[in-house]
Amino acid sequence: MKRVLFWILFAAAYYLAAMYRSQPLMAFCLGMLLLAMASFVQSRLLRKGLSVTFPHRLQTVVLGDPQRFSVQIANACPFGAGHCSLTIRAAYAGQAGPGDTIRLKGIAEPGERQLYFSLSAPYCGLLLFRLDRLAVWDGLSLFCAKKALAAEAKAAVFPPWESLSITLPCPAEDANLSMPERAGTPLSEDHHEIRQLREYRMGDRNRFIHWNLSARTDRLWMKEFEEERDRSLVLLLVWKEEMLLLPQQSSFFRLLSALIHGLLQILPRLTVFWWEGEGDPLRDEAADEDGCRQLLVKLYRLAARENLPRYLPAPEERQDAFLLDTGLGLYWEDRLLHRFSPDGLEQEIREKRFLL
Amino acid sequence: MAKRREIVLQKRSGKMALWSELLLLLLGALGLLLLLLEVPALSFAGWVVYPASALLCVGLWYSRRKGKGVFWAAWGVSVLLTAIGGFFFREELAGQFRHIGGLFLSQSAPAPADTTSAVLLLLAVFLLLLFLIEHRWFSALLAMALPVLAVLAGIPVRPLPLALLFLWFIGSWALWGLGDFPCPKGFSFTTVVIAAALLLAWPISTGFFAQLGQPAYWAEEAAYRAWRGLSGTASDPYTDGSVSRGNRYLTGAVQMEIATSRRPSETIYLRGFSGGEYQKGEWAPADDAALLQEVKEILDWGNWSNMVDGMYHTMYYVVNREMIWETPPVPISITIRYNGNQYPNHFAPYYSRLTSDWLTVEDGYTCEFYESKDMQLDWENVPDHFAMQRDWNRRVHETYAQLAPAAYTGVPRESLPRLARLAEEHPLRDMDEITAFILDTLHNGAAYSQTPGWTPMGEDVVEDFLFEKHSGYCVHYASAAVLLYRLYGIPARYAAGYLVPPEEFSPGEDGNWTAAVTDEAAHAWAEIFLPDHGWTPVEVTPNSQGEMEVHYPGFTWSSSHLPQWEPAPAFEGGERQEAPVAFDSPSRGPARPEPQQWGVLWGYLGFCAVLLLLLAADARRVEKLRRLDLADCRELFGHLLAAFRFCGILTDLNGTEADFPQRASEAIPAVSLADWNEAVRIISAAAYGQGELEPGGDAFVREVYRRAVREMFRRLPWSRKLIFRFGKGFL
Repeated sequence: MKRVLFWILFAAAYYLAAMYRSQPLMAFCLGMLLLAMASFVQSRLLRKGLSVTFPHRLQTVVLGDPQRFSVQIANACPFGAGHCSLTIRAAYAGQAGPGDTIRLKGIAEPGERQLYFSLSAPYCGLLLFRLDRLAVWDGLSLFCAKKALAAEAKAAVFPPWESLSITLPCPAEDANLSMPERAGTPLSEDHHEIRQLREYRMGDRNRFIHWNLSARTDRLWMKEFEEERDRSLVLLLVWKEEMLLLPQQSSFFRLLSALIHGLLQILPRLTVFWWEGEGDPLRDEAADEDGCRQLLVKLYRLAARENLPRYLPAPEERQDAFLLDTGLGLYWEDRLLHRFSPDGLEQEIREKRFLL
Repeated sequence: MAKRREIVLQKRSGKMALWSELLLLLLGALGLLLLLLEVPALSFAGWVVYPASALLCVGLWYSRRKGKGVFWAAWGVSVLLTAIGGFFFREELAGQFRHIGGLFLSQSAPAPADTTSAVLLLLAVFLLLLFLIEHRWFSALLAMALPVLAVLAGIPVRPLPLALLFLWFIGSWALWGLGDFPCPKGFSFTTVVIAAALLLAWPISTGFFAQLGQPAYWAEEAAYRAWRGLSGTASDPYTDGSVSRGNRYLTGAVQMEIATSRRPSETIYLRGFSGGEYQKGEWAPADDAALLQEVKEILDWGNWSNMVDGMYHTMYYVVNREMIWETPPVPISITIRYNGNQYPNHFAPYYSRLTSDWLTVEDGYTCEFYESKDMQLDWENVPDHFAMQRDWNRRVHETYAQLAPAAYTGVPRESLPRLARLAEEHPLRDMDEITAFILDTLHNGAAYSQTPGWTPMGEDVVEDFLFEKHSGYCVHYASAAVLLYRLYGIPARYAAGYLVPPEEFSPGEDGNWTAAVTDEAAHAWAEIFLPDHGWTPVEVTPNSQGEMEVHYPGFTWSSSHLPQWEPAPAFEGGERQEAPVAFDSPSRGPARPEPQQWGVLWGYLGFCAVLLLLLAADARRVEKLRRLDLADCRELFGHLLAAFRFCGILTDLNGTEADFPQRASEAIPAVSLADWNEAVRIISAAAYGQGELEPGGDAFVREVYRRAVREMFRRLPWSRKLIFRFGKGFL
């Protein structure tokens, strides 16, 4: 509209300058025309001189927390742009459709600068950012030069730290203990020797803090028992058709993360199996938060693949193993412990107690 | 569903008004004032108007910088003061506004009058409106509207005000595009580009004005033809007394077809309109009916009075026909048929009588007329049987001739001052001398052009033709000639109709000669009242070669004795070439002396520079205080010590002494010893401690700093206070 108004004003002033034979007004119009030409050249030069990239190709983000992302604009021209507009497409890997469009508007002064935008990721998964287009205007906002961009960046959206409360069955030597005794804390320090002391990790239970040492050293120390070192569990993952939908994916990953955190509180490590197709299952181990996240990234990539098998059944032999399916069903051996609801997942994770 | 989010970055706070906006406003106000200086007969006290406008501009801008509340208060106070001033000086203002209105609307040139109050009020309203409508597009539109309005009003626009208004326009436009973004760096680069564009534009527009403006005329011609074609009026013959203020374009459509009994040997003037009173570029139809009524009353023929009208319209033809001739001339019979749908009036040749009026459109109407070479009126040379009729006709003619001067010598001198002055400076009595002078003036003072451009508002079209543009076409030549004749007391009328030269006629199948008359033949000329011949056409428009030849009974004139100059082509534009004979065209009004303009300019710029310096100093102080708000306790302590040294207090201390708090509390009682001790402790911990700074420590030290500097400020003399506040930025 601005451009149209400029040319209408120009045409009107030019017409009047010619009709009234006014040389000053004609000079005014000619000045407008010359500046318009200079603006055109400026917009083209800026298009050539501006380059946009993502300074960080991979970032980690926590679900629901606003996260700042940055874009780097470099202007090689000696003059700044009137203003510019950058279009960024944000979509989850494997998601059909164009995804969200983010338009950043700012000015691009000579030199390099970073533009930041804040985003709160709604789902767990691999969030892809793609620079789509840069539009830059000249100083008079008459001409817009556009440029297609190709840079990409990824952000792994992890669920917030949550932990399912799970009590595992006692080992065989404790079979004579009563249920209440067994139903106590999963591991009782009265029954097992302390193997070693280690520093506190996030998720560790307060009960096993070595308070005396911690007080003396001004650091938190955890007691690690023999039983922890020897015991390990298996977690099987089963895909179902719901996996194709992003909200269900997100709920699954969130529950998986909570489950892993919960188990790692009572176990030193957890082995996770899953199938990606016909043949042997893939496995990974998680022993801490980093391991959990690495596992999640692998699963994000799997979920993003277009050739994800629609359904893979659970293996027949599931002794001493948890099974989690994408319908949010949690099984222990053959028994369904609970089917979580996507809507109340957060509350269920917080409140549910599993006594095995 | 995919979402679209728009995130605007780097938005500047809406509270802060840009420095560049103030600069542009000041330049625009100065440009406007310089434009007003060019208005003839407009005078104002620059030493009041310039500072007042600059103050109002800066004041409102500064108040907007302080916040919306402060701005609206300042704006409201300004409006109130303007209204109060307007009320108290209302009578003086009314007179001044009437004078200003007369300058632009009345086409007369009144004497210069002081209009300071009116200009002040106009500027105040202008600036208040600008600040009320905060949109920059409004500033840009206004910046463009001012030179356009100046051109429309005929006010000359000089390079300096044009440059200022151009800067204001482009600057406002650029800021409009920026929106809420801050100005990008490289502003100086932009300024250079703008200045370069203007520096290039001026000489190009001067040297190539004709070529640059030509497309506009082509476009206007195309639009005119399209409009006439679409409206179906191209074929309508039409004429009136409007003296065009614009250009003339032709469609080439045939508007009438005429057939004559034989091929004419002279150009036929088909008159459709005669002009009486002239007002502001319009000729009212000649009121011959009223004049003839007076003739009837004077003659007092009773029941025969009704014959007067018919006798008047045919007497020259009839007398010429009835005269005793050796070889009587044969009148030409002419039949006129219109092509279009409008039949506004008859177009009749001179010395004619209507023989048959139209019964149908296809029939047309027929006249008989004598060519001027066949008109040799001799009222005495008539046969006896016609003597009585001759006497009656002559009485009508003589009575009419007595009344004609009163009816057809009136000129609105107040709206044609230059024309009147031209006649006064060349007093003549003889008719032929007057005619020769008029023809000389028209030949030397103007060149024929069908596209002379438009006449500015408030300017009379005839004076603009003869004294400003020096180019025009038949309506302008005819109007100028008629007005000059009238100024010399010779009854003259503006006549319009069609001009059909002999070469347009071609033989028809029935023995007649026919001609197709297009709008190209539409013409205007002057007619003067000759004692024996009545209203006689005088051709005052040059031909296509720029030559003029005029013949009427007893007079012949040719421009061949004068140096020829090139007739104007379709559009010339720009500077008019010098007339071959010096033509002293009086100017519209006295020009302002050049030194006064420069003095005003430098005075205004100097005043603005002082204001800007003060603002810059305040802005620097604000920036320093802003940095102090963000400074930590160590920096604040450094500023405090600098303030001590400036005021000459505790100059022997550097803040690390054990007795520093004691001595400071004695020197600055506004801060207690306990506060000094606490401040020193916080600062020492920040400077030398190993732990983190205390939360709230910086705020405490800042509060101590403010109390201390306020105390010091109170004690300083006013001259050092200015430096303390604006120079050093301590408070």
